[in-house]
Amino acid sequence: MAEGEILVEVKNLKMWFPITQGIVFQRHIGDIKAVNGLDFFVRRGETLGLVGESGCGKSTTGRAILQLYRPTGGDVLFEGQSLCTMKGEPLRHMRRKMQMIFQDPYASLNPRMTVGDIVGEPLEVHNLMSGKALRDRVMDLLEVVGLNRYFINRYPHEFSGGQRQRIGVARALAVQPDFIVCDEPISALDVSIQAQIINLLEELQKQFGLTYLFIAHDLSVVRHISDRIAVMYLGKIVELTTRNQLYDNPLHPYTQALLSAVPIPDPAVEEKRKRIILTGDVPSPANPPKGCHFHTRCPVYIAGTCDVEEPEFVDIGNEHWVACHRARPDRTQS
Amino acid sequence: MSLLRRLAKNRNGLVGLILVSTYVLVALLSPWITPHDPLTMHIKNRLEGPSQTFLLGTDDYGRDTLSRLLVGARNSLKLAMMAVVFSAIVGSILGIAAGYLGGWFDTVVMRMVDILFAFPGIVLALLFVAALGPSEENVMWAIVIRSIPTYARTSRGPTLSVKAEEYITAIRSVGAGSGRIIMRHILPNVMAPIIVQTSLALSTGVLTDATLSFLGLGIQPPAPSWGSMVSQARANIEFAPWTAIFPSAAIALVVLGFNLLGDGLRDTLDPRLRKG
Repeated sequence: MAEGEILVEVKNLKMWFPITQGIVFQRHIGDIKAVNGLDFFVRRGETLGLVGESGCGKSTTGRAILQLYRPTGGDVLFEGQSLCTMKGEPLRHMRRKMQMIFQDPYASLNPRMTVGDIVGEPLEVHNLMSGKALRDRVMDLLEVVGLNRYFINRYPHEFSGGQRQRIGVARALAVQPDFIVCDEPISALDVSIQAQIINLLEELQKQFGLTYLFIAHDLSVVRHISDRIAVMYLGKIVELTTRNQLYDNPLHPYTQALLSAVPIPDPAVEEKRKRIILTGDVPSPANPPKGCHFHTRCPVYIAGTCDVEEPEFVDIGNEHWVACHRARPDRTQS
Repeated sequence: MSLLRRLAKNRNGLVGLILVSTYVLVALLSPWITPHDPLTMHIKNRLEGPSQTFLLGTDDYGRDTLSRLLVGARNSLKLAMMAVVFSAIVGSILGIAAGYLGGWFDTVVMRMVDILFAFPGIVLALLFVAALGPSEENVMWAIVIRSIPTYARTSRGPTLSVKAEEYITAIRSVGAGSGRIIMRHILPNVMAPIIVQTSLALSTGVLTDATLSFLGLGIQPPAPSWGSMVSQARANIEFAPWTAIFPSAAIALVVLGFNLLGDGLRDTLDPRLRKG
C-alpha cells in the first residue's frame, strides 16, 4: 500500500475546547487541547486505524475531520479541497462524500422514527430521491447491510444492538460516500456480533471502494481491519505505520506498552509475554507536559531531552512515522 | 391505540376529559341553550332560589344564574383559549430557540423567564391589569404573561436533551440544517410536554380570569363572568347562597377538570411510563 491517491489529508489539525469561568461573563481561562497538532493522510480505498486510550482525542479527531466541530487550527483536505474554510452549501455538498458510523447503536437512531425514515433521511436532506424511488432505495440499502427489506416500517427498539448498528451503516451508505469515519462502531456490541459487523464493513469496503478511518481501542480488531495504524496519546499521534510494521517493530515506547497488553491466545507464548506496565495517570489535556507529552510515564525517557524538547513527528523510512527522541537513529547514542 | 382511548383508561384522565368536554360543549352552545337572557332583570323574582323557571335561582337584580353561568363559561373559555394558544406558540418558540441556540440568547431568555417566575403568578397578573386598566384584552395579556415562562421552560428542557443526542450528530454530519433538525427531531419530543402544559395553563387561565373579574379587573359588568358573579353574591351569601355556590362550583370543577386532564395526558404521553 505504498502508493495510491490521497483522499483525506490532515494538516496540523488542532481542536481545542475552551474552559470558561464565571456566571454572567464567561472568562476564558484555558483550553482542553483534545487534538493538538495532527498530521496524517488517508489513501483512497485503505483503512486507517486510529487507536489510543480513552480521552486521547480519537473521536474528536474523527468529528473534526467531518467538520462536526470546527477545528481551532490546521486544515483538512478532502480530495485536495480545504474543508475548514468551506461553509454553507459547498460544505453541505461535501458532506455527501463523508459519513460517520457511531459507537452507540441505541443513541444514534431516533427512537421516534421508522427505519425507513432514518435510512432515507440523508437522501431527503440532499433532495436526491422521494416517494417510491426513495422507498425502494432504502429497501435495497437494508438488504445491502444484511437486513430484511421489509423491516422498513419498524422502529429502532424492535431491533438488537447488532441489527441497529446495521441500520446505522445503511444510513451512512445512503448518500454513497467515499469516506466513512467509523467511531468505535463495535465497542458497544457483544463479542459474537462484533465479528459480523467487522465482516460487513470489510465486504462493503470491497463492494463500494470505501475508505475508512477506523477509530477503536481494541488492538486485535484494529490489526484485523486496518492497512495502516496511527497510535494517539494525549492529543497527538505518536506513531503511524503499516499494520505489520507496527505490530512487529513498534518504535514508540507507548506503542510498545499498548501492544504488550494484548493477550495472546496461546498459553505457551502468553506465559512468556512481558507486560510493560505504565505508571501514573494520563496528564490533563488542558495542561500537557512540556517536551514530549509522554515523558512523564515513559519507561525509557532521556532526562534533559525528552522533558525539554518536543520530538518531531517524522518518517524514519519505510512509511514509519514516529514522534520519539529514542527512535531517531541520529539520537539513540545520546 | 389512539390517544383518546389510552386517556380513557386513565381514571384521572377520564374524569378530566368529561369535565373539560362538558365545559367546552356548554361554552360553545351557550347562545342557544340559555333559558333566559343573561342580562334581563326579572325585578319581581330577585334573589329567588332554584325553581322550575330559574333552575339555579336568580341574583339580586333578578337575572337568571344559569344563563349567566352559561354565557360566563363562553367568555372565560374564549379568553383562556386565546391567551394559552398565543403563549404556547410564543413560549415554545422562545424555549426551543433558547435551548437550541444556547449562548447569550439562552441566558437572556432564561433570565427573563426567571424574573417572571419570581413573582407569584396572580400578583403579576394583578399588577399588569391594574397598570393597564381593566379590560378583556388586558386580562388576556395577563394570562399570557403568566403562561409564557412555563412554556419556555417546558420546551427548553427536552430541546437541550435531544440536541445532545447522537442521532442529531448523525443527521448533522449528513448536512441537515437547523430547520430540519428542529421540525423533524426536536419538535416531536417537545410536543408531549407542551400538550400537557396546555391543559394546565388553561386551568390557570380560567382561574386567573375568574380572580381578576372577582376583583373587578376583568370583564366589566353587566357582561356575565364567573368571578364577578361570585363577587356580587358575597353581599347576599347568607340568605341567597345559590348565587355564590353555583359560579364557585363551576370555577372549581373546570379548574379541577383541566388539572385532571393534564395529569392524565402526562401519564399517557410519557413514553417512560407507557413502557412500564
